[in-house]
Amino acid sequence: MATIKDLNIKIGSLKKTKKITGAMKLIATTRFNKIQSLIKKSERYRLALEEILSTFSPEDIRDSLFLNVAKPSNKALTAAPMKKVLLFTSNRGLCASFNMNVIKMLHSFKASENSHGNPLALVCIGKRGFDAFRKYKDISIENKSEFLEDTSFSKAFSSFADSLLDEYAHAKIHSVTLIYNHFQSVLSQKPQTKVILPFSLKKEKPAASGKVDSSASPLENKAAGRSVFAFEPSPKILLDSLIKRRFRYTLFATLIESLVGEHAARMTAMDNATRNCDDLIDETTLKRNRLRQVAITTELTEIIAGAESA
Amino acid sequence: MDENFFSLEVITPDKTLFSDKVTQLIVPGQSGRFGILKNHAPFVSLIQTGELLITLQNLQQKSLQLNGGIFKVEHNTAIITTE
Repeated sequence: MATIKDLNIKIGSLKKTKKITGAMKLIATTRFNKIQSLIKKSERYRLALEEILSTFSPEDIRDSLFLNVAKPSNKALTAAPMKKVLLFTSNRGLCASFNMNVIKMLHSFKASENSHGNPLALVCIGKRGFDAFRKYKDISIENKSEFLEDTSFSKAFSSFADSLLDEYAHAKIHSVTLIYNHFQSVLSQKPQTKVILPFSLKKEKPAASGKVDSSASPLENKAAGRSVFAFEPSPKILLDSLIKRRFRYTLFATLIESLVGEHAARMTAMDNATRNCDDLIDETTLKRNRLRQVAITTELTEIIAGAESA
Repeated sequence: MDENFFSLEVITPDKTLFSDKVTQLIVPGQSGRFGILKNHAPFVSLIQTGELLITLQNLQQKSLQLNGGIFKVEHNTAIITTE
């Protein structure tokens, strides 16, 4: 049975915990807002790339996507079908099931790939994911957690993206899959897998040629036709560079999407923790007050009983 | 004064470096520097690492260091994507 003193100590520590979780929530909120504005800015870049891409003919785009990059993968299928998986988690904890969700997803992905006999090469962007998988001996694992600390589009990051493309072009890897938390809203992040290499016809085509069609048709209605662009040096070289940039951007966009989800998850988790602290404080205070009232009543009864007998 | 300016945006994945009306551009293209004025024909080019010279509406000069990128101009709107 807790004494009044025990309960007072408990209330004191609960209040301190509440302060801490409250502060963490504020920090997460600030970071969340910062990254969200970054996402808005990066969206402009994506649109600009799409706009430039739309100046090329759909045939050129398709040839570039499938001949320049995808051709070596046919050889890769017979050679070493190493599948690269990029796991986006957080570096720090206290963000509810954010990390667990993607880790679980990777576990099931790993199980299904193992049954197909494809070796996996794991790249962890986030310490939590690295810690969860470092003990497995059957997959090669790389730790790239430092990308989470620097939210600008750094040289290191783009050269990492280039190295992936390079390994792919030289048939060292056969595909690149991203496993990350898709940001749906502040309250919900859904774990998702996305294959970014080889470029898939289904995903790339609507994004690429859909834009072309929509921008081409209004112009054609005006009987002006699409503007004829001059390309320098050549459409093929330009497209190569453009697709490289798009690939780097895709990786970067996923990184910041995962980050914004992390901060949102932490915000929600800390908000819940703060509210839970409030509930506990109320409950414990009530308990303490009751106990105090019991003590007062007992004391009073004793005094009255004493006075009556005298 | 006739209006001889066009719009320019310089965009990176994490921010917009420049967005304003300009009168003249000198771009460090892959196969040599080229100048862009108003009413340029639709044009797409690869950019080398180098200096982008911008002449603003008030004829002031401004320069930006570019680390490679892609340039596009169409209907008096120029876009540079760089990293």
